Amino acid sequence: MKITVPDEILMKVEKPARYIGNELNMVKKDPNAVDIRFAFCFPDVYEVGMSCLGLQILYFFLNRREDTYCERAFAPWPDMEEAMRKNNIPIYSLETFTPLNEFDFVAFTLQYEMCYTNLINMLDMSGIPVYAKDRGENDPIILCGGSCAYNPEPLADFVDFFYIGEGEVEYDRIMEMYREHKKNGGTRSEFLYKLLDVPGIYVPKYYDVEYKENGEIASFTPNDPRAPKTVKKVIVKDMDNVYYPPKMLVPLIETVHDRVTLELFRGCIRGCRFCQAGFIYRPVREKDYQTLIKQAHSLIDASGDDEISLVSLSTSDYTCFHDLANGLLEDFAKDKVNLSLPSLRIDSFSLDLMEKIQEVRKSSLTFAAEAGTQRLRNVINKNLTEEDILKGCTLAFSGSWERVKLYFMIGLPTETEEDLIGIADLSAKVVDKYYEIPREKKPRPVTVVASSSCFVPKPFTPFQWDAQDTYQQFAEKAKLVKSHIARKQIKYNYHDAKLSSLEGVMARGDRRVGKAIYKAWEKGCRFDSWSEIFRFDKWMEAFEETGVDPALYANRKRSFDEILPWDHISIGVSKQFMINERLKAEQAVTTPNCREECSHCGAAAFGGGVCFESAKENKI
Amino acid sequence: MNQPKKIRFKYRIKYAKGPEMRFVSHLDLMRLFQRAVRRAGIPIGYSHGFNPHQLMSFGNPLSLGMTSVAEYCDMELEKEMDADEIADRLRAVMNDGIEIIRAARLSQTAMTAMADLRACEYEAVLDESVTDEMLDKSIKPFLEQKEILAMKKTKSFFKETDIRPDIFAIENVSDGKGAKIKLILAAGSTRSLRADLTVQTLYDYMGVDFDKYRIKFVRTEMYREIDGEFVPLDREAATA
Repeated sequence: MKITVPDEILMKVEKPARYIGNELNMVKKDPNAVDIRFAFCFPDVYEVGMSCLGLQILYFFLNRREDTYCERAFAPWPDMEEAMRKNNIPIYSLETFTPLNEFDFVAFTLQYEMCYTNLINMLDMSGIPVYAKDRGENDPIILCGGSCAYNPEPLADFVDFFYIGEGEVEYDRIMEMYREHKKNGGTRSEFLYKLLDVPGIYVPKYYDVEYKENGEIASFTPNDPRAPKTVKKVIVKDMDNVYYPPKMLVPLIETVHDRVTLELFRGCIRGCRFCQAGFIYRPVREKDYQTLIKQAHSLIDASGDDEISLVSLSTSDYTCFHDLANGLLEDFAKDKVNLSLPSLRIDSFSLDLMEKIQEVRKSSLTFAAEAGTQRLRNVINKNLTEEDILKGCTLAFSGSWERVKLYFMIGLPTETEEDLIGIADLSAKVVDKYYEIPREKKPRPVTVVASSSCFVPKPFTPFQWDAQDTYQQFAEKAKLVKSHIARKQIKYNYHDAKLSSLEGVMARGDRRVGKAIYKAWEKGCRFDSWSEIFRFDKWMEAFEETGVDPALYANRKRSFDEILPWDHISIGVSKQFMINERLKAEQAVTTPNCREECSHCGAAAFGGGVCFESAKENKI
Repeated sequence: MNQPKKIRFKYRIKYAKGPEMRFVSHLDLMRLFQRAVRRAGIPIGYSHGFNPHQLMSFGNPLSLGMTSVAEYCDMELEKEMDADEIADRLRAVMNDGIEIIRAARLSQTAMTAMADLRACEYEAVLDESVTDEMLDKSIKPFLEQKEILAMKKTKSFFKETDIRPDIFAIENVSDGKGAKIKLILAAGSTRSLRADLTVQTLYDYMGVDFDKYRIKFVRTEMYREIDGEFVPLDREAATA
C-alpha cells in the first residue's frame, strides 16, 4: 500500500520537506523485485536523524545488496503526528511511502537514551504492537542497534533483537539467513531462535531476570541452552577494506550537520573515564591515509558540498592527522571546500592548521576542558593540563579568534567545591590570556563561553557504579559556579539538570524501567531530548504509577559485585579493568593512552587496531 | 584589496520545479543549485571577501507548495562555455524534480532575472466548487471593477490594497477536466502580486469558499517587458 499524504496536511505542518524524501542520492528500487524490505528508523526528527553517520553508512551498505531495499523513516514532529493520527496515516518510509508494518525488518538506531518514547510512538503509529510478546507472524521484526543498544534492558520488552556492535560485520549474514528462512516459509519465532547463533545478537526473550528484595538483580540467565551467556560485540577489524559509502544522502532542507562526513577511525586511545564511547568502540582502528583521501574526493564529488567534516572520537589523534588535513586542504583549496574539524584536542592543536582552515573560512572554536582542576581532570583521566588549555587559547587568540567555548561537566565522581570554583577560575585565566596580547592587535572584547553539562554515569565506563547527583544537587552546583564568575567577559551556561537525571535512569536502567517508559509515552511524552517538549512532571508520574524508583538506578552507589543490568553484554574490555580504573580514579591516578602504553583492557582480543600497531612497526 | 575586476560570462538557466520539489523553499533551492553546479564542475565565479559565495541569482521566489515550468537562475562563470554544455552538465547531476529546460548566454550588460522581471504567469487548477460556466460569467465583471480590494501582506502587517493594477490578465482556460484559469500578475522589485491572493479575491467575488490547499498552482512563465510587450525572460536574452 502506498500512502498519500494530502497537501492540506503537508502545507500546514512545519517543514513539510521532512516527510517527502527524494533527496539527492536516495536509493530507488522496485519493492516488488527485492526479497527483503528493511526500514531504517531514526527515533528523532528528520534533521537530527539525517545528520547521523551510522544511518548514512548502513543505508548504502544494505542497499548495495540486490536482494534488500533499505528505506528510511523518522519520528514525525508533534504537529505532523497530530495530523497523521487524525487522518489515520501510519508512519511510512520516505523512499516508497510504504507503511512500516509492511516491512520485514523495522530497525531503530539508538544514539541517545532520551529517544526511547519516540521509538514506542513510532511503533504505535505504524500499527505494530509495541510489546514484542504481542507481535504475530504478520508483524515486522523489530531490532535496535547503536551505542545505547549496549544496555538494551530498558527496551528489552519492546524489541525482538538487539545488534551489539558495528553493522558492517553481521548484517550480510543476517539478511542471507532471513532470505533463506522466508523462502522456506519459516516463522518469525523460528528466525529469532536461529539468530541466537549469530555473534553480537541479543534476543531478550531467551533470558530471564530475577530481582532481590532491595531492587538489585538476583540473577540473569538464559532460558534456552542455545542462548549465549554473554553476547560479545562485533567490530570491523580492517577499516581499509570495509565498505564505506562513496556518496551520502544530501537532504533538501538544512540539517544539523549539513555536510558530508569522513570517518577517520573508530574507537579512541584516550580512555577518559566518563566516556562510554571511549570504551565500547575499543580498540582504535584507523583508516589508511590513502583510503581517506580517496573517500573524501568521492564524497565531495557525489554531493557538491562545500564542507567536509572529519569525524572520529578525537580527530587529532589520527596518526597522520597533519598530513591528512594539509593534504585535503591543498586538494580542495581551488574548489573552496572547507574542512570541519570537530573534537580536536587542545594539546595537539596546531596554529598552523588553524590558520590554514581560516584561509578558506573561519570555523568556531571549542575546548573540552571537562573539569575545573587538575586533580579532577586526573580523576576522569582527561590527560590535559591547565598549561595545555591556556596555551591552546593563546594560540586561538593570536589567530584572531575572539570567542572561545569551554566545556565542563559538573557532578563528576569525587568532585568538591574547589573543583566547581575551578571552572570559574579557569575561565578567568583564559580571559587573562586574551589581554596579554597587545591591545592594538585585539581591539575588540573577548567572550569566553563556559558551559557545564551534568555528568551522567554510563554503562561500560569505570564510573558505571557511581551515584549520579540529583537534579537539585546539580542546580546548587551550577549556582555555586555562577556565583564565582566575576568577569563580564565570561558567559556561563548550564544544562537542564532534570533531563540529565532522567537520562541517568535510562542509561543504567534494567527491564523494569521499560514499564515507566511505556507509561510516560502513554501520558504523551515524546521528543524528551527537546527541552521545549520535555515533560519532567509526566515522567515523575509515570515512575510513581509503575512503582519504578528512579533513584534506584541513578542516585545509588552500586557495589563492584552487584549484577549490573548489562553484564550479559561484553564489549571486550574486562570488568576487572573497569574496577582498576575506578580505583585509580579515586586516587587521581591517570592511565596512559593506548599509544603510550598498553593497559591490558582486554580489547586486544579482537585482533586488530591500535593493540597491534607497534607490532606492525617492529616488523618493518 | 583592489583586485582587478575579472571578466565573467553570464548565463541564464531555465528550469522546471516538479511536484517532488514543491516543499523545498527558495533558500534551500539555492543551496541545491550551488551543490549541483559544483557537482557539474561548472567554472562558476566566486565573490571576493571573507566568505566567498557563488555568483548566482534567481528569479522571483516560488511559494512553497507550488510547482513551476519556468524558473530562472542566472550565473556568472569564470570561463566561457557552450550554453548547451552547461545545460547538459547540470542535467547529468541534477536532483530528481528539477528539470533543466535550457541555458542561454546573456550579454555582459544584461540585468539579472530579478531586476528585469515585470510579470509572472500562473495556471491555477481550481477545486470542484467552481465550474467553467461560473468562470465565464464572473471573470469579465470581476476585472471590470474599478478597484479590487484585498488584504495584502506588507513587511509586518496586513493592509487593504487595490490589487487591480497588478492584475494584467485572467483567462478561463478550463479544459473539460475541471475549472482552470490563467493569471498574469505583476512581479518584480517594485510591484508584485501573489497568485493565491488573487484567486482568493476572485473566489470572494463569486461567493465561493476558498481553501488554497485545494487549488493547484503552476507557474508557467516569467516575463520582462520590451516595447510594451511581455517577453519570456530567456527569449532574446543574448541580445539584451
